[in-house]
Amino acid sequence: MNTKKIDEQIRDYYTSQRPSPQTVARVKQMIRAGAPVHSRRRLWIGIAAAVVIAVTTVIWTAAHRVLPLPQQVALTVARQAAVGHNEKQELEFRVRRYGELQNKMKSLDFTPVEPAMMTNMNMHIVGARYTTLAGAIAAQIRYVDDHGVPCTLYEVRSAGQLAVLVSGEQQVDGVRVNLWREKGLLMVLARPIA
Amino acid sequence: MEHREMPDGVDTLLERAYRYAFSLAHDAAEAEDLLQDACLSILASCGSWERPYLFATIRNRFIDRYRRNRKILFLSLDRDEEQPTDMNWEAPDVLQNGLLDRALGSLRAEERETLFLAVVEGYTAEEISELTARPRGTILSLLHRTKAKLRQLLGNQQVLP
Repeated sequence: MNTKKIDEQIRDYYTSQRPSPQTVARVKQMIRAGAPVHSRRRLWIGIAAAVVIAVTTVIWTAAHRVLPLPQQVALTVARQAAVGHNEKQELEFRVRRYGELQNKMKSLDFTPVEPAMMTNMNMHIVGARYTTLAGAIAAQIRYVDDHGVPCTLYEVRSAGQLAVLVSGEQQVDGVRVNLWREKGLLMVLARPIA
Repeated sequence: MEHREMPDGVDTLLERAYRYAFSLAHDAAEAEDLLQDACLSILASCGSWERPYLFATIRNRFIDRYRRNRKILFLSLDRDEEQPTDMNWEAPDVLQNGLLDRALGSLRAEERETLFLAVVEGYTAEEISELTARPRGTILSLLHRTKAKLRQLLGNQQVLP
């Protein structure tokens, strides 16, 4: 039997494979003729279209960039504060003094501080819970006055869209909502309309 | 249409490209289609007529076609690096009765491709690694296993002494 190294046989096998003369002639004709003009034109049209779309998108996005107005943010915050006040959800921490709250609420991204206004109004702290206000983590603190009438104070970092808010008062769902800044925090107080 | 200069040694280039396409597809008609597709692609993109570029284009066209047909093409080859042993053994003339053709046909595309590039084109493992975007160790391992598989396939057909 005729024997040969297998590598040589593999070489012989592949060397014996040839494209048909018709295929070779066709491909050579294609090369001679060059790139079909329509394919190159299509390429340029594609690039131009992509550029136009990209530029239009950038311009449109810049022109229509929808940023919430401070008034809209203030209304949203006031509504959330009023709803939270009316719902009177269960408190997570019951405290007698504000100092206790600072020790208990460790998951906030700020240190809660008692606003001077609460002491001036002779309000007594009852407890607090975690909540969110306009998407930011906040402390929801419940106070009562000498007659046991509750009010709800929210404290939140004055950052992001909350940073644009200005002090003011709104009345929402039968609740008076006051908003102000103190010691670097945004304070929101919700209480019944007297 | 825009007329062009014919690349040097076009006949040899086309033959070698066809053989590479054939090593992938193991089918004459398919290999011719791949060659034409690749040439059209190069013309459309005003690409180079250098052999490595043509081979890479053929490879990409092959992958595209098979992906479109949802065929399993290349399997994962990540194995430990093995040194290829000398598999250049003496064998009876397996060409004559079509045994080698059948044995090669039963290999996977990437096995035939690697074997072709190494044995016929004389590519180094490094060069095959560049063309196929696989680690050099994987190529060495694949080549070793392909030759062993081929020997087994031919042996099973009782052609080896």
